[in-house]
This record gives sequence, structure tokens and C-alpha cells, in this order.
Amino acid sequence: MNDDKQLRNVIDALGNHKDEAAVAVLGRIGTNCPDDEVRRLTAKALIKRNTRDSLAVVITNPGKGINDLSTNVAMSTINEILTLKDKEEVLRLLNETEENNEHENVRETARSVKALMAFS
Amino acid sequence: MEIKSISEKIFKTASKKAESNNNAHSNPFGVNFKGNIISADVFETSEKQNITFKGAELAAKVAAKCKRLTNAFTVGSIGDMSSALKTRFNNVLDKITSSKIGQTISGACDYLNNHKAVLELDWNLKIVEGKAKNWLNMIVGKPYEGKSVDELGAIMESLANSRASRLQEVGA
Repeated sequence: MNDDKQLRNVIDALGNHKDEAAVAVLGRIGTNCPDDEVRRLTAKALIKRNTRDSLAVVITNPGKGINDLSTNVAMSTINEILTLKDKEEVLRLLNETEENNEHENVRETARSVKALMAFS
Repeated sequence: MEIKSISEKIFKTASKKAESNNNAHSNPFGVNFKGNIISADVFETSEKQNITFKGAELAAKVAAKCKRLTNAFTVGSIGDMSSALKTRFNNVLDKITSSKIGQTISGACDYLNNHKAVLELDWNLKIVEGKAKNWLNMIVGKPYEGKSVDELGAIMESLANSRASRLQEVGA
């Protein structure tokens, strides 16, 4: 099994792990990685996990997830949000972020994603 | 075949031909000694017996029946077995083995043999199950199932760094 496939498997395994500490590990190692592909896979795994903590990492933090500086990573994360079956938690979080987040660009991104979800 | 203590009753003769009273003795093969019909106690009555017992006891009783039958024909004074007698003897044995009792015994042996195989399979299955799970995880690309968060974190960090250095070499 090559390294890229192994990396994908490890990130998936962390995303599906029962232990909530997996979110912190993904946030610490994955979303801060200089490699775009690693950040993209990490954001995808956190969205799929669909818990408040995991969604908060990719929605409320500047430079991570939907706020990533790489357009590829940001669009991939937004796409993953749009394909979620249960959008209740992510909508709640987007509303809170739009109203309360200290960073302007984070608030604007959340508003944009909400609008996209309304159209999809 | 050993000749155990021979009951005197075997040689008890009757002046008349075999009486119709089958309750005292029976002689289905018409065995005679020097022209006299032998009233042999070794032959079983035709009365049905209410048999309800388990395997070992059953096997012992069947064996005892067969033994008495064979003993009747090994007494030297009765003489050599004629082919007709042999045929009749074999018929009796066939009757016993094809009877409900004989079938029950052979059925029980088969059941035990089959059940033993199933028991062994069940026992080994648990050992194989653990290995099979690992193989399946490898095949479907989930080799990290069951690892702790710390272990996975360390692996992820190592792979991410390896990838980063590889990309740096390539100049991506």
C-alpha cells in the first residue's frame, strides 16, 4: 500500500474513531499541515464526522476548512458540507458563526455557505 | 468365539415335536439333535419388548442377543452349521441391524460424529475470526481499525512529513 493511500486510511480512521480526542489530533496535525492534500482530506474527514466539535474546527477557524487559503481546499470542504445528509448541526453552527465570530472574513464565508446550502 | 458355560437347557429334548406354546421356548430354525427337537432358551421370543434405554445399555443388550445366538451354533454337539442355518443366522442379524434399535444405534453414532465436527469447527472458527477480520481490513483498505488515537496521530504525522519531504524533492 503506498504512502498516499495509507495517509488517506489513517485520516479516515481518525475521522471515524469513537474517541473524541481524534478531533483534536486532526485539528492539530491535519489542518495545520503545509500540504494542501492533507488539509483537504482532514477537512473532509472532520465534516463527515458531523459533530459540533469537528464542524467547529473547519467553520469557525480562520485559515482552516471553508476559510482555507487554498481555494481547492476551501471549495472541497464546502462541497463536503453540501453533501451532508444531516445538516442540522452545521446550519446551527453557521448561524452562530455569522453572528458571533470575531473575524470578519470568517463571518462572510459562513454567510456564503449558508446561501449556497439554501440554493442546493 | 469362546464357549462359555453351556446351559443344560440347551440340550433339553422333547419327545414330541415343538409344541405350539412359544412362551416357554422357541426354536425358529427347527434345530434338532439326534432327531429330537431342541427346546433352546437361546432363541428370543416373538413378544415385543418395551425398550427404553440409552446408547450404552442398548448396545450391551444388542450384543448380548447376538452373543446368545452365536453361542447356540458353536456348541460342538449340535454339529456343523449347514448353509441353510448360516443363511437363517445372517437373516436374524440383518433383522436386528435393520430394526429400529439397530438404526437408532447407527444414527446416534453418525450424529455424534457429525456433531463432533461441528463442535471442532465452532471452536476453530473463533480463532479464525480474529485473523479474518484483520485480513478483511487489509483488503478493504482499513488496516487501522482498532488502533488508538495516539497511535493514529503518530502514524499520520509520520506519513504527512514523509509526503512533504517527497514533494519537496520532486519540486511540487
